[in-house]
Amino acid sequence: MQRDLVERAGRGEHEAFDALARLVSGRLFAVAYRILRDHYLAEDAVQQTLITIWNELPRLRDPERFDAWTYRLIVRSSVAEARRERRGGASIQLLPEDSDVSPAPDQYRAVADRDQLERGFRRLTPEQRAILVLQHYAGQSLAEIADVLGIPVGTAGSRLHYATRALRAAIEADGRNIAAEGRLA
Amino acid sequence: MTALNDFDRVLGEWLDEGPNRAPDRPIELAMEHARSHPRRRDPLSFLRPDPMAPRSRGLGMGLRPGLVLAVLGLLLAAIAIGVGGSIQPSVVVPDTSPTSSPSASPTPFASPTGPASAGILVELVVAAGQPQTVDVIDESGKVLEATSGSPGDGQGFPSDAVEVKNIDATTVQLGWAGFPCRTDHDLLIGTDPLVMTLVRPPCEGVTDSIGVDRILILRFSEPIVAADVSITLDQR
Repeated sequence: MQRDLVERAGRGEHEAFDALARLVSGRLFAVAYRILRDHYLAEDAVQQTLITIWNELPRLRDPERFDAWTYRLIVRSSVAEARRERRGGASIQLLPEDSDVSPAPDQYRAVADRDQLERGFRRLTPEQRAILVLQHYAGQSLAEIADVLGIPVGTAGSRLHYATRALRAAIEADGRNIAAEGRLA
Repeated sequence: MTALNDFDRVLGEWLDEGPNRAPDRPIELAMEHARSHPRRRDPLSFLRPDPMAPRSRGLGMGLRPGLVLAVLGLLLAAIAIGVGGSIQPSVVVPDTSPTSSPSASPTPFASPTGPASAGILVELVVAAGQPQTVDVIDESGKVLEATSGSPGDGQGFPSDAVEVKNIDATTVQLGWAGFPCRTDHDLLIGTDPLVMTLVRPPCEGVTDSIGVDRILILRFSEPIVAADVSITLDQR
């Protein structure tokens, strides 16, 4: 079904493009949101990606490569949004949807882990976040990540290694800061 | 924090949380764009690069068959006319670089004829040690020139990272250090020129432990802000 939509949208059929956009936008939004951690920026990244799909779809020779191509586009748009955001200064960061729910005592540890993850993740570069999302959320193999990012497999492995190391370092630094603040209090 | 062996699992679970359904707004706006930009027949579509074409490395390997045929055809025609005496036999190869349609996102194509588009080999000037080269593979098509800087004696740059700074609005300097053994680096510049990977192979055998600086200067066809450049040093 998707292949048919890709081929028809590539020929310029608006109905097919509409159906295709609705079919893939959930996956695109999910990836963008996880890279950007911001609903509105993710929306902009999805919109830019869908427009690029419409503009450039006729150039995609193999419809079977559509999924990999759209992953590439959404990662690129998300990184661009993150950079634009960084240049633009501070933004309103939305709290997680369940942030107003008080956790049970035995859940404090898990929530602390998630808060540390959130803070650590935000300290990574957009490219580092993207590669972690592709592997740990989208479940892509190194070869698939390399294909999506257009880089050699070895480079993908290296980037993933450094991104993981950077996240761990950020979380550990965060933990030390919290401990130091606790001693001062 | 959670034990390291649980790290991947916790990270995966945390990333799983969050929305999986896109709002309607971006879809509707994209549809508006599609309606206001109806697809026109493109007679040169066979020359345009596939956005998911295999990554090319070096001049020539990324040529599309249609483009090769077009260039060969033009060359043969020009030669035939020259032999026939209509024109001087000097052949002017027309500019056959593909003209991409306006797009917000660059394409992953190493233009075979653009200025300094792929595989620029730079011999770096070093104060000591054996020869150093960088093969600049530019997938953005925006690098106009890649040259060596002139580092001083000793080590002023880090050996585990690459420092980037602006020389002017369109030129950046990359500086890093490494062992003085012969090193053939690769610098991969992505379709987004702000994303780079410098691959530095390790030295073989015994090396002098004193690091030496390397400086590479890149001039782009458009302004570039050093602070926005994300460069990974890949030490294999």
